[in-house]
Amino acid sequence: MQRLRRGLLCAFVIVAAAIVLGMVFNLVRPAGIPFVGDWSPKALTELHAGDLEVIHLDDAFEVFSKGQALFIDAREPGAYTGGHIPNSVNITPEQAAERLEEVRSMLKTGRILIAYCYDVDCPLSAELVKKLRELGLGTIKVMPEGWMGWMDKGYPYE
Amino acid sequence: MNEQGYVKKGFIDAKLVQVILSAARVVLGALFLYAGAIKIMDPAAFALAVYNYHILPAGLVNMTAITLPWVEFIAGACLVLGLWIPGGALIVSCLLMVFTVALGFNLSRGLDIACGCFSTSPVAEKITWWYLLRDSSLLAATLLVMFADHGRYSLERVLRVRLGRNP
Repeated sequence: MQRLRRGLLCAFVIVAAAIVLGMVFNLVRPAGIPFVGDWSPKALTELHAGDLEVIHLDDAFEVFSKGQALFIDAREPGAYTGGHIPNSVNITPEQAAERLEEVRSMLKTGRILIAYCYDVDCPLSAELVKKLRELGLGTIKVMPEGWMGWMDKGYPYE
Repeated sequence: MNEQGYVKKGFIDAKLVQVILSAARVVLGALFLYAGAIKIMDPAAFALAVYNYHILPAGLVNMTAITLPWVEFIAGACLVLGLWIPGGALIVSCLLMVFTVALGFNLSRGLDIACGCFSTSPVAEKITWWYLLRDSSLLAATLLVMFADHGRYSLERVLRVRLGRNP
């Protein structure tokens, strides 16, 4: 019991020291982050997509309705099989290189290529588009709202 | 036995038992020292990892990412050096409990699988359950250290001897 009591006291001191050290270090270091972060959908989109071209849900649906869109589902095959945007193709970030030609031919159709994954928290579609860009394909957009956003709007799926 | 309860008679005080406990303590400490250090190096990436757990309110995510790695780092250092062993071990066991619960909670609500943000391949899933097992084993080892490592091979004891106090 005495050991536990002594442990509690030491633990309290260590935690207090860690909090102070962490905050001070965060303030002075160049890589410091805000004490309260911005985790809004807008901030998350910027975080994942960075300088990639983003197309938001309603715009994407408009392009889709005109038959000018081709979707790439960047989620794992299991999620894709469970339901996806009509005529979308399932390509995960890991498959970027091996399915390069497929994407190239999709681009040649002249339609707008839009990658999506689960929701705004999900980085997979941005990862995929970044990989494809590194491989030389540059005009694929990211729809940050993803599958969840699409479903919430009640848009068609298959 | 002195007032710190560091020297006791019996099985736990056997030399071999104390050597094994000290070795376990150093390994556990090194793990946390390392875990803390890599998180301290990239606070933005760690903040995203904390956010992705979807357990804390968004307003607390960054503060956690800023301070938690230092708790791990200092507690780990205490265990490696053998300073404030009960305190360091108490913190490490509390952290392991929190990690295990958070991991189990997200596994049970299928967050990984539904999100697909952290790979849902069968291999990755096995690793995730393995993490749960690993955390529980580490927790058991930490509790042993906390209650049974009498600090015979610790910096604290060295200092006590140097200062001429009752070791």
